[in-house]
Amino acid sequence: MKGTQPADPRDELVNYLAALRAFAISLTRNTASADDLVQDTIVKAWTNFDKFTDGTNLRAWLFTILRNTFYSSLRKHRFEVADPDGLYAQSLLVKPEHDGRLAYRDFERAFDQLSPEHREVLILVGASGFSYEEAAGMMGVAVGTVKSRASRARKLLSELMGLAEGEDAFSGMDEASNAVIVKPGTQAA
Amino acid sequence: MMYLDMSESGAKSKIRGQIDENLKRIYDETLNQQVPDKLLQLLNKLRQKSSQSDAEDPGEVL
Repeated sequence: MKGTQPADPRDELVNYLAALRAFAISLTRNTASADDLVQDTIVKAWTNFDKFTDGTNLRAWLFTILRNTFYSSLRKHRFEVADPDGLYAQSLLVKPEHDGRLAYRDFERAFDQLSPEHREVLILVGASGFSYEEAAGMMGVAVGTVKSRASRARKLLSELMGLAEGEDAFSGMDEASNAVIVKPGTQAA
Repeated sequence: MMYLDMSESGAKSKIRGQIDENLKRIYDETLNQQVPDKLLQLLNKLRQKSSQSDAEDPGEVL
């Protein structure tokens, strides 16, 4: 029969598996590592559930465990971080599609080039609906840091996509074609 | 100069809107994937383990 037993609040965890996995994939960009990370997160959440304050945001609590687990394993295996500072990211340049919209595959490639910290802040405030304040609590930094990191991450993404912020999507291409057209023109004149 | 500033901020917010749209898509694509069985099984195992050792103090497991 239904409802004869008091519900274990931990039974709620199953409802967050998909979200935890989506967040883990956005941090690791690798499904196998993401699943390992979600496993570790579940075990930690289960065994430390007494530390969860009833009535607060369970999703935020779980995401915090996940990102802390992720960063502490990064610190242990620093060599596994291919590009922590996004240095070789600079080499990637993607042109927008004909209509000036960002092509999704190109966007994904640019997103992959960001540091985990930049991917994290963009996913938290840009895609999963957390406020700057909530994200600050989860990341353990000041709200201002979240805002500036998010802005920096957006700027980097734009650069990786070949879009200088504040410029029209086509202006970079116009400059390039102008340069090609002008050169022979000046020779003739 | 005024009109230039306005068109610049317009283009900027357009790019920003597209970035957010694509970020949501990246997140939602994985959010809508089937959760692997091993994660569901892990929760079942934890549930069984804790109902078996209900009387015991679990202590600091990690």
